[in-house]
Amino acid sequence: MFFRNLTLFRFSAETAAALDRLDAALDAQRLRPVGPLELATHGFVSPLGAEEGPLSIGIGACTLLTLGREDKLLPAAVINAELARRVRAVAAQRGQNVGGRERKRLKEAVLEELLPRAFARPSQLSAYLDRKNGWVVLDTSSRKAAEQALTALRQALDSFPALPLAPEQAPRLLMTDWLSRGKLPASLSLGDECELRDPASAQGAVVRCRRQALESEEVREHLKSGKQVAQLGLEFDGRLAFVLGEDLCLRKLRFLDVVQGELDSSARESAAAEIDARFALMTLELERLLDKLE
Amino acid sequence: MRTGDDDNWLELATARGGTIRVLKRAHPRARRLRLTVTATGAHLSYPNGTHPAQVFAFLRQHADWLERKLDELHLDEAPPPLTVGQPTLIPLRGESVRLGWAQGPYPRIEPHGDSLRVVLAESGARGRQRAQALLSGYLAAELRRDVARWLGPFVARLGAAPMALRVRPMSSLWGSLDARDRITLDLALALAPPPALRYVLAHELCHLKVRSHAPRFWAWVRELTPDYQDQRDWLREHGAALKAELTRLGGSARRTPA
Repeated sequence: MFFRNLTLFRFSAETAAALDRLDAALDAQRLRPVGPLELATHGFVSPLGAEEGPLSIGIGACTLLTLGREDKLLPAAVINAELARRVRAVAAQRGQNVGGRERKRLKEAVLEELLPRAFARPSQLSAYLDRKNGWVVLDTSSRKAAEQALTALRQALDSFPALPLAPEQAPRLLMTDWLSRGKLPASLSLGDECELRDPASAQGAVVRCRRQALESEEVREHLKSGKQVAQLGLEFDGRLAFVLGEDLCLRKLRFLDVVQGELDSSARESAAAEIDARFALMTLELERLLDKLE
Repeated sequence: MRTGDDDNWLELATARGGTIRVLKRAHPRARRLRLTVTATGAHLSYPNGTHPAQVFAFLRQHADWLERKLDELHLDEAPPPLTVGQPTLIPLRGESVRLGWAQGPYPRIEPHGDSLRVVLAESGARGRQRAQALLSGYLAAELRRDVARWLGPFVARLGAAPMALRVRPMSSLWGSLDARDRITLDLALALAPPPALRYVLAHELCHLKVRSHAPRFWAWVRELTPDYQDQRDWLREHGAALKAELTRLGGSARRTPA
């Protein structure tokens, strides 16, 4: 259950105090199965995976929760093909073209017929709230998915004024400075991938490096010619590896062998105990990392 | 009045003996004739199929208004284009700042006391393009720095927060809030005095509470920025010049700042 990508929001101490009624609020927004004529539903599910399990798991000041979604799989091409077939049939029967209003009515009839037969695709997004430090950490790199999850949380709590990160220094300029000077903040070291973008050209020239020594002359040449760092692979304290983006999203987060070793040293009796242990370890490591990145 | 050499332009003779060039354009979704004046000049849009005589008549009918608006915008006092190697003055956070040039690798903007220095490896058109991209990034970073300081206290007082905050050049607006609660701020606000930027930020945040410009909305704005009327007046008076200055500095809508 280690998170793979991190999208971050901040909230204040006053907001943290209002989280006391979180469990009751989540319970009112529990995920229900998507109905025959619905396109999608969303709600909270148990992080343990059990249908009737608790909707949040708290360890210290951190609370793990999971947003579930069920989306009907009904491709537009399928709807259009069926609609075209019906429009042709009606036109042939009446001997005249089908107008816009009639076409709309036919489309609604097609949807009503196909929706109950469509598969419902379930998906989940995990997140945790750190009340001590005021972080909302979502396990996604998709801005849209993160916004949907936060909207669900806001609906559940009525009000949850969490802010997107607003750094005082531009991440792109900061990362370009780190890479060009080779000087990083303490505990951070360069990984082996980066994405460089040319801000001057309208087409946006892009160079992506994978498994590449970032302090090499070829990377430096790109920076000398004016490209800036849009994504940078970093390691934190030899314990975490990730790619930091200019959108302040952390991608490809990996807990390195040292951390994994600490987890393997003791066997867990149940799945719940295993999730507890992993969640505790992850939040501890991320607390240090987020404190550093801040 | 006559149609200019280029079919897209109309030329209107003024009472003072001058000529005003107006860019005309048929718009498929236009429902009426519309005359607008921006930093780039006068524009007239009309529905497809409008008779040219009707377009001329509309322009003639509003000639006085057009002349007055063009005078207010001081379009004839447009700043000179940016030239690599030629020092110039630019507005930054409401103050006039000297922009200098230097040659070197790693293109960047270096603050030097009260002035800025653009370090470039190349000159000419390519150098100007790169300098404009660097300036856009620098201005966006300056704007975000101010916004980062004010956002927390504002959100605490409002009890509502935006989903995201974007900075980009906007053609006519100063800011906007979309249906997904994302705030967009005009990059030109980096050139304006900080209180003006603070007002626009507060204005957009208040739309999280009230989506319209009803009296209840203005009460929230007054709560966050008591001097908001002064800032509105300042933007109304100097806004066009700021947007023109941003265009000179490279704030084109095609480029995404850092």
